[in-house]
Amino acid sequence: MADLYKIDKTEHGFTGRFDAMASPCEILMDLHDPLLAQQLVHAAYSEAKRIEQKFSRYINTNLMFKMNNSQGETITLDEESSLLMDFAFTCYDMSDGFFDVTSGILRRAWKFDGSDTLPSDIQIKELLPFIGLQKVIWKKPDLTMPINMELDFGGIGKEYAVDRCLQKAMEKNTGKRIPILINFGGDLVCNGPRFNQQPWQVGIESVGGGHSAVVSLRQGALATSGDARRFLLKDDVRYSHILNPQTGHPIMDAPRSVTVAAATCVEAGLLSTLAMLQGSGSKAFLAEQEVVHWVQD
Amino acid sequence: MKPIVFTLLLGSVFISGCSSMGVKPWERDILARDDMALESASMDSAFDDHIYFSKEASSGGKGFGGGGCGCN
Amino acid sequence: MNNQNRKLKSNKDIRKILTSATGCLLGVTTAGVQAESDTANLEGEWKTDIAVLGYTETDRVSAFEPAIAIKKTFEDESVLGFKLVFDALTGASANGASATGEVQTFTRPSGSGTYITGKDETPLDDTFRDTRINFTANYEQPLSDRLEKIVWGANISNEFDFTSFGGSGTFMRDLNQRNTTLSAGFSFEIDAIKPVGGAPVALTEMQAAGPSTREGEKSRNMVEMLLGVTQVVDRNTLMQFNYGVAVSNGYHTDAYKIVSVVDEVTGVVAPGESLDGKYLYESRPDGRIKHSLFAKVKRNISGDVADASYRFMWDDWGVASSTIDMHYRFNQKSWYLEPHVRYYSQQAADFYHTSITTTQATLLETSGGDLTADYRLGEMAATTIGLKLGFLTPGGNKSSIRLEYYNQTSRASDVYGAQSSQDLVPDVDAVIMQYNYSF
Repeated sequence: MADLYKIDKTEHGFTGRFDAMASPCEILMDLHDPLLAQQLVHAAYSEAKRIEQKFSRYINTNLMFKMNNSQGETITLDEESSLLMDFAFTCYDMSDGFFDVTSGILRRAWKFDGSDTLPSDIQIKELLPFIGLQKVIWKKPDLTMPINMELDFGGIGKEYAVDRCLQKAMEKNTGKRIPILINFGGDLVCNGPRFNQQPWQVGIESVGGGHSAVVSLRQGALATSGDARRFLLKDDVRYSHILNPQTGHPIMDAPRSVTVAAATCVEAGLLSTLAMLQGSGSKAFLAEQEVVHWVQD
Repeated sequence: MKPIVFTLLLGSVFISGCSSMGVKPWERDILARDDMALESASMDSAFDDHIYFSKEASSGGKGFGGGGCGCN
Repeated sequence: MNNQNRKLKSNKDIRKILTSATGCLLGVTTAGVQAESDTANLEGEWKTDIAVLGYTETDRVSAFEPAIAIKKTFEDESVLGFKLVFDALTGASANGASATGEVQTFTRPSGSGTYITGKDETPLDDTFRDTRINFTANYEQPLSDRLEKIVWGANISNEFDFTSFGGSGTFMRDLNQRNTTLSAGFSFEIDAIKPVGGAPVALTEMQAAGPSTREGEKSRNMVEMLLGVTQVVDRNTLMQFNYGVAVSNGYHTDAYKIVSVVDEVTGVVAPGESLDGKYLYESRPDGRIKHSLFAKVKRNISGDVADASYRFMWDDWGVASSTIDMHYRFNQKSWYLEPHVRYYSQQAADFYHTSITTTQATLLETSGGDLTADYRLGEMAATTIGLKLGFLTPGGNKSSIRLEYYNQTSRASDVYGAQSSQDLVPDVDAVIMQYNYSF
């Protein structure tokens, strides 16, 4: 067990730690029962690993692999995958095709490693025919994907896992509310204030200048989209890793990072990604949504 | 001399620990606190620097050592 | 072609759609969100810090220093700050001569009038009175990609016998996901020194009418380089290392300081030409190169903050010093208590002599050299202990008071004959009180 996750005593409770979804994960709990703490961490850990196994693009025996290698055949999705598929379509529609779970194949052309290697227009044009969720036939629970198209839930998977892990941890506890905060690499959610009715204090890193913000979170979630490390730099132009699925090119003039507070981590994550997709219009977009947010240019 | 040993000791901790040092952006909650800033009481430091500049043969180190003071 | 970032349609509905879609996905209704930030808006108001310092040495100098600093952060993350400090000094200051078993008479720096020191007392010049005004301006300028910035500083100060003007520029760069900060800074300072009545010629004898020969105004200048590394060690720990070198040229002598000339057997002050005793005006080198190494560790310990630093400084005058400074801040909800300990020790400059013999005086008067009896260049250990209490005012503003005790213990370098029964370099004790208020 010791290899799966670590649990440390803190001043007001326990913190569980493990790695999942390419992020360090933390479960912060205000409670004094170490056995219950272990159960909560175990529940969250199991859920995170389950989702990772199921939707990772790097495992060739899972459902994701089955979907992406269906060769045009219709496959039937389970309940959870169906809900995610519905959600993906909703996001696609409401963003006029900007948030597109089929755009992941652009990664074959764009390698965001901080280098100055840009793909050629031909490379990009070759991929565009295989992008566009409207080309996927979705009659719940039956999914038919054109050959060479790929789905990637990476844009919502981590936030989904954060929300699910909180649910799973809370299900383990039948007594009075235990304050819990789940943090997967900066995308996080809490189930209310801490034991003494104090808010959780969350630091937001300053991407550029000297100002880090400290957020007091009493309820809900925070998620951040940003290109602090994932970008290309050529001729002094920064190419952000947020790609426009319709042109295959990066969104220009996007802020360095956008952090949004919302009721769930999924909502916060979507809003921050949609804001980034607005490029220079991200601040106006966030203002219109009337959400609490932090933008770093 | 004792002081030099102390300096070297700190230096070696710094070098050997470098590879695993640092925090992720979302781990800056504590470091972002005002009282964790390197210079968290600048008024106090400035007064102290001025006093010790005028009473001792050393100055600076933490910042520039000039005093703009005729007191020493 | 790729710059066409399209606007989303019906932006206002997005949040509603998203909330209901998330409800379907997660199968729960949620309690909403409550979040707020301490620094949501980058562009800040002018922030003001005021402070008043009182410094009192037993039987010697007292200082009263009010200060005000204002600072503002702009939208582009640049920071502009100004600071004004007044410094009113009164009291007596050691003139460098040694206590003896006789009453001693000294000439005031102006040359008009004398002051008398009783037997077995440390000679203090009680005309010490000064008002200093110091103004600094700082500008923090973020550079293009915000991982770099330059901090500019300007400094001007004026006393009745001293004017100083200086400037600095420090370049800082963040590396390694902002866990490492490298800095390189340069500063310069130009000082104009106008001792009362003109600077006495070094190593000449104090006369009843002041120095027999005087020089006019003096000047010195200094350039300094400071290289630094700041490293985030872990979530709780921060480290800083600096190396600095300062090169100064010009007049370093303290025009008001003298050295007693004594008989090397009896230790009695040698007879002077026009005063009872013989005292030489001190002489310091006209250049100084100072090096410093500085290390600091700051660590959060379950909500409290420990801050420890060490400095080693050495120069080409033969001075070398070590300073250890430690603070521990006990944080409570709306107040904190911060004990402070500082220990400083220095070895004497090569040309420091508590007093010199008549033979040495003759040698110096004929062939020159450097000489001081200023205890601040002698062997010394100093200890500070202090306590600071910080609290929020009823209006929610930060406020603090601190009380510190500072003690200097020095050791005489040369003791002749009857001097062994004297306390040649007595302890200096001072009390520091300070009040801060920020709004």
